[in-house]
Amino acid sequence: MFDSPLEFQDVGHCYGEQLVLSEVNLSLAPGELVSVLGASGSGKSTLLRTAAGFVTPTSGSIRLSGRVVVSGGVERVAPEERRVGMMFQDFALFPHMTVAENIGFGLRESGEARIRELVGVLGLDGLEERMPGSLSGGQQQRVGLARALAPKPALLLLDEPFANLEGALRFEIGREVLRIVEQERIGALLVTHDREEALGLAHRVAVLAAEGSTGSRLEQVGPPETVYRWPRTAAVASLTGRVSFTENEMQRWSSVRPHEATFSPREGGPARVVERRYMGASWEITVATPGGEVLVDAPTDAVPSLGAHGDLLVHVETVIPPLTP
Amino acid sequence: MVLGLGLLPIAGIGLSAYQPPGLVVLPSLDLARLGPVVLRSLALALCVSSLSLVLGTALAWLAEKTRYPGSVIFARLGVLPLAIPSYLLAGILREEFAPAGTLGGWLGSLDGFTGFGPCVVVLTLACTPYAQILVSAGLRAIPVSEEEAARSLGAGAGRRFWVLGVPRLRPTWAFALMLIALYVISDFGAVAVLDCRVLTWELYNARGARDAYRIALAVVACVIPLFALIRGLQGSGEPQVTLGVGRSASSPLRLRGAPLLLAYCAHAFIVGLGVIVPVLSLIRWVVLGWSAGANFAPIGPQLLVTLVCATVGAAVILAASFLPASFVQQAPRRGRWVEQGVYLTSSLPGVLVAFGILHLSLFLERRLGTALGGESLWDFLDRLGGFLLLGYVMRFLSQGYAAVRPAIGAVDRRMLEAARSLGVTRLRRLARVWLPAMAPGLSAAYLLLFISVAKELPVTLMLLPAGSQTLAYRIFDAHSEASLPDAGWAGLLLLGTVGVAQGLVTLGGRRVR
Repeated sequence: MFDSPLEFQDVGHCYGEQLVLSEVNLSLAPGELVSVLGASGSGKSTLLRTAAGFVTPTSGSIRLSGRVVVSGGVERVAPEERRVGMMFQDFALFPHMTVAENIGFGLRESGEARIRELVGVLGLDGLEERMPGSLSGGQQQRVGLARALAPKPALLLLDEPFANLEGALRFEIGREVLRIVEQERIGALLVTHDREEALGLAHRVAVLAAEGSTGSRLEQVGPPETVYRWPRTAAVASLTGRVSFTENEMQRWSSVRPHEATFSPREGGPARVVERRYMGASWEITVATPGGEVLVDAPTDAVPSLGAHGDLLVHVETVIPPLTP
Repeated sequence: MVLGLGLLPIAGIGLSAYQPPGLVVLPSLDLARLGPVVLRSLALALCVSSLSLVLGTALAWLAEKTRYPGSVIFARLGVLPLAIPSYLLAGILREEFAPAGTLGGWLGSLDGFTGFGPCVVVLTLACTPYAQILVSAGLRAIPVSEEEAARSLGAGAGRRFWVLGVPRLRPTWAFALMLIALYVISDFGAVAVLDCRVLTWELYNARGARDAYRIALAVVACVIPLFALIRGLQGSGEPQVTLGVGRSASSPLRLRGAPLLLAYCAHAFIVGLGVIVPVLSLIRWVVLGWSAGANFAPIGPQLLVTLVCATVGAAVILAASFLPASFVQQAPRRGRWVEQGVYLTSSLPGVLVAFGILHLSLFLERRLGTALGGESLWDFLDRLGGFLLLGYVMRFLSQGYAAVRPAIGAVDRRMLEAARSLGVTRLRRLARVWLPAMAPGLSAAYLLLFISVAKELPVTLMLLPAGSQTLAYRIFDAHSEASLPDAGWAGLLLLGTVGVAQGLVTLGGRRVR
């Protein structure tokens, strides 16, 4: 039995009259990285900031390692006493301090050994006395990670930390974060709008989506593959990848991923290619069917012509609740 | 033009040394007195700027980083002393803290509220809002994410201020210190009302003496190094190294216990003495005057002269500001010197500017004699308020320039190019593109200049055509005559005028946003 590094219980938050979050329930295990995926404005950063203590949720409670830090709209533990590590999109390094001073900022004692250890682990050797402004984006984010990890927090909060990094670097630093989270048995909550990042890094994905004016709620939480292949709602399907929605004769709605359907040209077939888009490794064709338009990936050497008729074969489809116009 | 304006008072000071004996109305100065006067001026500047900075920083930190009952309203009221001219504030506190005054009676004062100490109090009240505004801007420039990072790493409010605030605020503090010191050395109204024997007050008293130029040179010697330091601090102001970006404010600190008590004490000092006491005193003086059946001197002419001076003065300053502003906009590199000249001209104390103009005009009159119609050039310009307007331009050119230059810069070049490509004539471009784009900035600048001219004292006092008075002049006179109901009535009218103009600025700002 362990204390969860982070536990949201029925957390809700309003900005004035506007409901932003509603009934969020989520619990992290030590050494687990959970990504919160959501569109811009869905409240995912607000959710993360409630855990950090920078926003006090208007309802529900939050526990950090078993300790209630906020409940019923009342802050019980101030942000500076929660001892969580946080990484920011803009790195938020202290520009007038050296790399070593930044890393050691949260340490109560001088902690030179811990600084040396993190410098080594994160490949920052030789940069200890440099100022943050003279570092590359990747190096700055490594310093941000080292600074957050230095006090050995039980929880790491990651606020779109890779958004300002180049493609390859994002993946590299993301993997480093994941390795450290697993090694040091830290719970980590990653907030992102990038589905590749959310699916590729996390042990579990939590999809946050708004429904009308009721505020955003967690629509689905689960392992990345489950959430991707069997989305519970249209919002989850859309947020986790390219998808089409079709309605069959029984008026049941289902979601179809482009790579889970094939189009076979046939004179007089019920489906018809209405649009083609070159994607590099393949073509994405839009096929009009009686149940609606469906996106299909087609190999570059067998791409059907525009207006071609044929049959659409769906290999995997997931039934979802009816779409509301 | 800028060079001419900058050199004009210096030339006047030089010429004052060669005025014929007939003009000398005061005995020669005791030069042994000049040293202590200079020291007193510098000590006053040092005390006021240090105190204002400490108080201003505390109030800025309270406003930006904390929340407690009344914090928002106190933050707004805290900058109101800016609207009250220092001579008015000085006059009110002088009366209220006198042994016979309300506050003086309660406190059991035995001495009058005059001299160095009271001057430090009054000028600190007047200058703290400047420091507060500057430090607030400095605190707001610290990225919220850095604050949050420090908080998540366990740094409390004190450590965050020390580690994040202090390094960022150092240049702001240095700048504010110099700016306030310059303001204090240039101040005339408060030191005159409180009879503090510093350079500006001595210069005014000795304005007719042949060797008054020595005091004037001492003023210049104090002002120019401060000006150079301020410009140096501004010029070397490398952009703050900021790796993060601002975001919505982090959750503020809730003050409790002793810190809360200290916060209320600071507010009580600034808002109580700087806003509430002055306004209540003015009202009380007027009411007491009425109830005692005092004969109020007619105030209509003074109000009219104030409105005319402020309306015309602001328009002339704004028009004069266009020349250096457009030059600097077109040639930024060469324009740096013009800009320095503009700021140098306006950094000279009003009393020095007026002194220079006065002596230069006297010299010209002697040389040119009478002009057409038997009227001398002096009389002609004096009657039209030419010297007064020149004085206003010199005093407030930098204020006009600082508003006009961004207004010119706000005109989008692509819009002008688009208009030209559509064949629109120069005149229509001016009317349809230039003016609408500049209008918000110019109207706000005009109103702010209006306020500055309406409150101005030393230039008005020395250069206003004989027989006229503005409200500021009337307040100064009424204090000298100890006519409190008249001072109260003129003070309320002046504050009302300033309040209306400030309200229009705020309204205009909201509409633009």
